[in-house]
Amino acid sequence: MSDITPTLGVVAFSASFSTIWNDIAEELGVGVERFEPDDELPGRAVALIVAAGGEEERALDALPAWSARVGAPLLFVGARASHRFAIEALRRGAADYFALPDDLDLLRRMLAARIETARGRTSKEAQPVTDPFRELLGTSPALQETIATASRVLAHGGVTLLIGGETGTGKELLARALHDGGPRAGEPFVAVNCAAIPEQLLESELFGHERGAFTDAHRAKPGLFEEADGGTLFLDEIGHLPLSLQGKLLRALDDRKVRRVGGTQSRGVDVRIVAATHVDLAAAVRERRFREDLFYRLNVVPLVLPPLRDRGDDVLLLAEAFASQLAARYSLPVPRITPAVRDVLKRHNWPGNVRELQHAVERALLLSEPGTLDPASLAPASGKSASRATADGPIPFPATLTTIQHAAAQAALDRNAGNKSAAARQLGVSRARLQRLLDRKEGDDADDA
Amino acid sequence: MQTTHDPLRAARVAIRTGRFRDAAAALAELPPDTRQAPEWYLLSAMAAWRLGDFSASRQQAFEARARFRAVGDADGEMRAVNVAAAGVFGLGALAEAEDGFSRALQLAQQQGDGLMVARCANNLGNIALYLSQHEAALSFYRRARTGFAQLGFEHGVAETWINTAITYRDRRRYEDALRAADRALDAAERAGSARLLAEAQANRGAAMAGLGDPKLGQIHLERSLTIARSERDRLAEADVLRLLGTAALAVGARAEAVRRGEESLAVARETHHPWAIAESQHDLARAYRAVGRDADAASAFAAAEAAYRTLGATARADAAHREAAGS
Repeated sequence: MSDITPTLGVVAFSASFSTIWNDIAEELGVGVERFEPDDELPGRAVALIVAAGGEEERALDALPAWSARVGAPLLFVGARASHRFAIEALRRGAADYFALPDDLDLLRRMLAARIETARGRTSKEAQPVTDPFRELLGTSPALQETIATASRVLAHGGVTLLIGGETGTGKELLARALHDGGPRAGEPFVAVNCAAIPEQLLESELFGHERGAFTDAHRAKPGLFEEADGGTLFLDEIGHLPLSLQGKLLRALDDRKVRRVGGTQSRGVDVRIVAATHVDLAAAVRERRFREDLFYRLNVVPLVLPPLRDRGDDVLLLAEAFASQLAARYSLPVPRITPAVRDVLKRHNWPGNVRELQHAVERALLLSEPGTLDPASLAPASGKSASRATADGPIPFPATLTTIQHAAAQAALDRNAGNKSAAARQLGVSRARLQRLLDRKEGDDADDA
Repeated sequence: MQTTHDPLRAARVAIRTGRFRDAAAALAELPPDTRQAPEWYLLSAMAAWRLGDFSASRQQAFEARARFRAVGDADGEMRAVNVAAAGVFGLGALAEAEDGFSRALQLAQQQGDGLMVARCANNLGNIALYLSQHEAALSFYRRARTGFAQLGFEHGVAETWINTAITYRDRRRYEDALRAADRALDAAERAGSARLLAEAQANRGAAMAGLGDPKLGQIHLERSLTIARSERDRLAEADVLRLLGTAALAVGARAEAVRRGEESLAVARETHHPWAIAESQHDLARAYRAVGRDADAASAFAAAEAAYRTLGATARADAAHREAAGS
């Protein structure tokens, strides 16, 4: 293990606040290295403080050259609490701007956080690069296969990607990881859910509009393509994109130009598109609901996130991780995952996937005795989600009555932790009737109500 | 240590740390020559706004704007325009406030000030929400969030997610509201802001209650109330009390709904925030009706309607009117 002690670099343009750096460093348990502006600056430090109090303009001029070669975040410390000045410092390469003395506590907190991070890093000497997929927890082959494919395209910031997977499987998390781990990191990541925006507004939202383009367009507005320029535009639920807009999206992808609604000029944009869908786009193409040319344009590298029910013991791993994170959030003891809890977790099919699991664990954590997870507290959230599944879970939509009745019966059973009598009471049917509903298969006669 | 004397520093720090009465007092004690500075007017406008004196805030912000413009300080002018718009917003002139924020947005775009662009977009989103233009509000919040995220300003990211959650809740899209509130909570944790944590928690609680899980919703709302009180954030406290009342009403705890609603209105009145008062009156009216206090309900509905009309929130005023007529 490396025994490097983190250091704080200070390059001083003036004597302002010069006495505080040793105090801060001592308080945070790190060393201080001082430099003059003309010195060779350090390649490694936790942070390099550009102490500019009174000499802001001169320090500002030096920033662009340093930001490229100093291997540490540049923290610009001045005496001017000017909003615009701070923006200028950030634009020239500073990681943050602090106006002392007002921002002293803020600066101290930020340094403490950076030092903590640096200490964590030095204790993991074999991990020079943080894993961008670290938030996609799981060891199942199904997930690991997707992550392996994603890793291979990580460096190619121009490749269009299509992520498939049910609701709650982590499609945006994967898109975000691809952005953060790739060459466009640091540029905008703009996420939009195509299903959440009314069709008549979606064009203006994506491509912007000029003033007077329509009744309510009192002023011009850039679209999300322009907002994402240089970065990534994540188009969630792309299957809901109306046919009328699919052609415009295809042109934007091919020409790398967009035209605002009501506009006469095209604007160049450099945007990487990551699209996602929970529906079968190939089927949508066959049914002529989705343009074939756009499908193939998007489907350059398909990535599919598996549903939680197909990820084996990942459900337990995730539940433990959520329990630990959430216990910290709510200042509660970390609960043990007992065999009874494991049983409930494994038995439920999690139609809402990881997101449903997270909420179920949170619910159980908050409603159980501190330090425990009551299996019964996991159940109500599970039952509720089963009804959601009729629209966007594993049950196809539209579904046959048989399928829906079977799902309702299964949901009631889940909600009551496998207790068939309780489930039957809840549904208002006999236990035998419940069993018949559970045993039904597609094609059985459903009309026996 | 080499420092320059800055007579406005104490007021600036007080405003930044939320001590608005201290800021106003510090500004009032400054010598006459300092009180001619454009920033003095700007800080006075900010303090007055936070203290609920929107008229004074607006007047001082306009003065600040003129003085910043006279000295060619475009940055100061832009900030003054933004505060003036906020003052107008507080007075309930939503159309005029919208113009002001739009002007500030334009100035910020000209200066390439991404942070101010994001702030103005967020404010314009709030106006759209008050006008019940939900899709426009969501669009503004989306734009603001992109700007805040680009600058790594997690406070702003959290605020836009909170506002997004409120917008979805207003539309009864509780799943979306919960998702937005989840994001708000993550951002608030990254920002390390107790105030934002409280607001995010409250929105999660309200969304969970809306999704049919009032027990868990109430736990989140109670936690949020504790944080709001410990932070002495009266506006957040009024909002959480109102949401607790709504959640209580949803599970049939009518007396509890009235108690929470009355508490909410009392706290909202202390903040002088016209929107918070109107919202509290509206929800309290529903609680009064539920317990059969029809005269109180009618009075509260009428007060809410009048307040919404003063604010220019016509759709909400009409809704309150319809509900009152239904009693």
